[in-house]
Amino acid sequence: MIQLQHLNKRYGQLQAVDDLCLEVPSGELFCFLGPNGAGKTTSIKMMTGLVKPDSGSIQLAGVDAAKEPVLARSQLGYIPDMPFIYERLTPMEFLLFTGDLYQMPRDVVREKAPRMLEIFGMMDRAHALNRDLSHGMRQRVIYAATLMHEPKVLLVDEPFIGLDPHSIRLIKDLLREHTQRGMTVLMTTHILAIAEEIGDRIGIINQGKLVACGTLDELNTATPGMNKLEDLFLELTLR
Amino acid sequence: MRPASLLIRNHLFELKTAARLVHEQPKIKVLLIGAFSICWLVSLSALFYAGFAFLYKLGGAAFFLVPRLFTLFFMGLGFMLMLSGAVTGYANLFQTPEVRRLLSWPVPMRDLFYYSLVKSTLMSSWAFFFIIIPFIGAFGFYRDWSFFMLAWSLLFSIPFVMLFSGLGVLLMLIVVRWIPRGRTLGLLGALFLAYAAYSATNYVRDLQANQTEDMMVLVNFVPGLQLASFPLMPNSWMAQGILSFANDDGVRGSLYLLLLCSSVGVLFLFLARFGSWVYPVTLQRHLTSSNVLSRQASLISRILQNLFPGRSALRAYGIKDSLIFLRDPSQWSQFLIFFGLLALYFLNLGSLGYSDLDPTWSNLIAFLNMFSLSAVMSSLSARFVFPQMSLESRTLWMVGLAPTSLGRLMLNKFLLAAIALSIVGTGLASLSNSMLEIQASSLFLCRLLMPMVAIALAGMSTGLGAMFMEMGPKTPAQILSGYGGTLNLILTLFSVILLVLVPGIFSHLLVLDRISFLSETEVTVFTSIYIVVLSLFAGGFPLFLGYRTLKTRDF
Repeated sequence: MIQLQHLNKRYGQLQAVDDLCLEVPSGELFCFLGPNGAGKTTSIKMMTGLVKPDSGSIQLAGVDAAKEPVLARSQLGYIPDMPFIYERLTPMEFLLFTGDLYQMPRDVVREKAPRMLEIFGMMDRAHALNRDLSHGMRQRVIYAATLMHEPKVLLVDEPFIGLDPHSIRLIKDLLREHTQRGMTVLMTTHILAIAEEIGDRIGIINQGKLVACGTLDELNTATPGMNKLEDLFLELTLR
Repeated sequence: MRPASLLIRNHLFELKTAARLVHEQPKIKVLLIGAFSICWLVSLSALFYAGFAFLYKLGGAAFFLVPRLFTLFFMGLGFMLMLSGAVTGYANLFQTPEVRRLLSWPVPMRDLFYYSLVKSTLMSSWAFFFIIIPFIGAFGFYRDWSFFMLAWSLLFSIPFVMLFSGLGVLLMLIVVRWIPRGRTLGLLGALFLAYAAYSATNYVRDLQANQTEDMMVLVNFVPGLQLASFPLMPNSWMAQGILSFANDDGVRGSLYLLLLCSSVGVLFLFLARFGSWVYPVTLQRHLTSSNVLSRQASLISRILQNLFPGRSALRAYGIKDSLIFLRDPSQWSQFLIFFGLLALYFLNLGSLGYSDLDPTWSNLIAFLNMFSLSAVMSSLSARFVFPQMSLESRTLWMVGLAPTSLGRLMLNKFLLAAIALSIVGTGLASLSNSMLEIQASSLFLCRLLMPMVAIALAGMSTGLGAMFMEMGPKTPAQILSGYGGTLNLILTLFSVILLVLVPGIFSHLLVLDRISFLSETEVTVFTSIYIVVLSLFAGGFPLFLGYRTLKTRDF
């Protein structure tokens, strides 16, 4: 699970994240919505430890990220919106590299890497260089590498940019399947229809503050007269 | 205006703008480059001048030696230009994103080829003027030439540079177009090339057998001289042309200049025709050359997976960095050229018979070799090791989340760089020392020096790379051109000077018997302590500062 308490981050004059409190239990797919520059990526980066919060605490799968950063990170998987992968490695080599980096036993890595590529339909490209893969194929490799060490918490930033319908379906099914198995997923997206479709709960952030949070029904009930998430989102973020 | 002319004009505008924006560059960088260029031109001219002065002091032998050394010098330069032309030509014709972008524009392939050819010639050749100008300048200065004579002789270098870099592009194009695909065909191709090289060596040996006794001695002393003096070699025309002017034979000199110019004209006309025909096919071959459906891991990948033991981040980076290095021709070719040239030079030391001379000479040359080797190591560590941490910033989404700290990542990078530099440095130093047969105390110092220099350089470049880590999708060149990159270059060169020259001076004084108050063992021990302490500090302190920076900064 993810537990954020009174999280703050300031860049100069800009309060990027303002007293953010959030709890996402195990097995939930939480959609984090907000306009550009609302503080979504900063919040995610604080959870990953890449950006240090000015104040507040972060617990990932029951581990305090400030006190035990290495243990917390070992429970975590993160997929940014435009991830870079080594162009001169093959998907298989990239997965083996990830396994070594996460200090997984060698025989486990060798057995698991082909299986992950098989799941993502990348086995026939396993030994091609990453630079020769399309954007969608690279995203599949990145998902395979991120999920290989079976993280308990997955943070995904804009997962559907530039993907074809097959890849979108594959990733949606995969996120659902993993949450059913107990993984906590926090996903940011600008595609409101997808948030409505797959999110167990939805949170809307604006100017660093969490302005709405709940299931789709809860949000609709809380804001009478607005039947669509789009209306609610525009109402809350255009203020 | 033709598309090719438009593109060339646009490229020249870009160069002009870059020159105009020099004042926006870090001052320390501009000063360093300016000072380095002046020092380079002055010291190289002085060295050439001293060389000519020495040769002409030999009297009549100079008239026999100078023309041959001219041909040899221009042959070496020609081969370097060919290599440079091939590398930049390959990059410009097949690798740059610009080519891929222009393919979708209404630019005929022929014009795209002309444009890339001109760009490659410009890019590959400008640096060589920094070698040609001091050489001809020193010769002209020694022979009291007028400025007009000097300028006239320098005119030779324009067709010379164009000719050899054009030949490099031509060879590259042939190789990329017709190089066999697949392992078996590749092996057959390699065997054919080996046979061709063997036949060429035999041919040159046969030519040598028909020489005069003087020439035979000289050919044995200076390898490659026979080939350099071959009358159909363009380097020979260049040498003959300049020397004809020196001997007041302007007509003969002009004829050689015309010969060079007409050869350039013929070559570029041929290249234009040949390139227009071959380039489109070759580009398609190159763009579709990826082995996307291969079901087998490459041999080198399998070897590396088994070579690195255990399960650790060090193993992960060892395999990953080795694979990326081996698959990037721009990386390994630089290593190969620099260290390969040094290896050839060290191998040739055996034929010069230094081991038979006074030990003062062999000792002095051994330490000068250590200095040149360390200087090459320092420039390569500045080029490849310093940007490593900044380049890894793009993968922080995964590397930064791995259950290992960024400080440990930095230490892994340091270890890999130190081991690689140490292996290459120690190997080449051993080659130099075995050719020179230096005495035991100097041999011990040289053996100690290389791993310690590797530790100092790797530590400094990795530590400063972490301190001045640049985020975002930047190229190594952009990372190097910043303040941190320039500072690193200066500090690594400075540490090499301190690390190699001081032990060299002490060792030299010891051989000359100028340090009478200390025994040989005491001098060796004190110098060894100096090397170890200084290199540990030079490598360790920046690593400590880099580690501290990584612990506190946001990404």
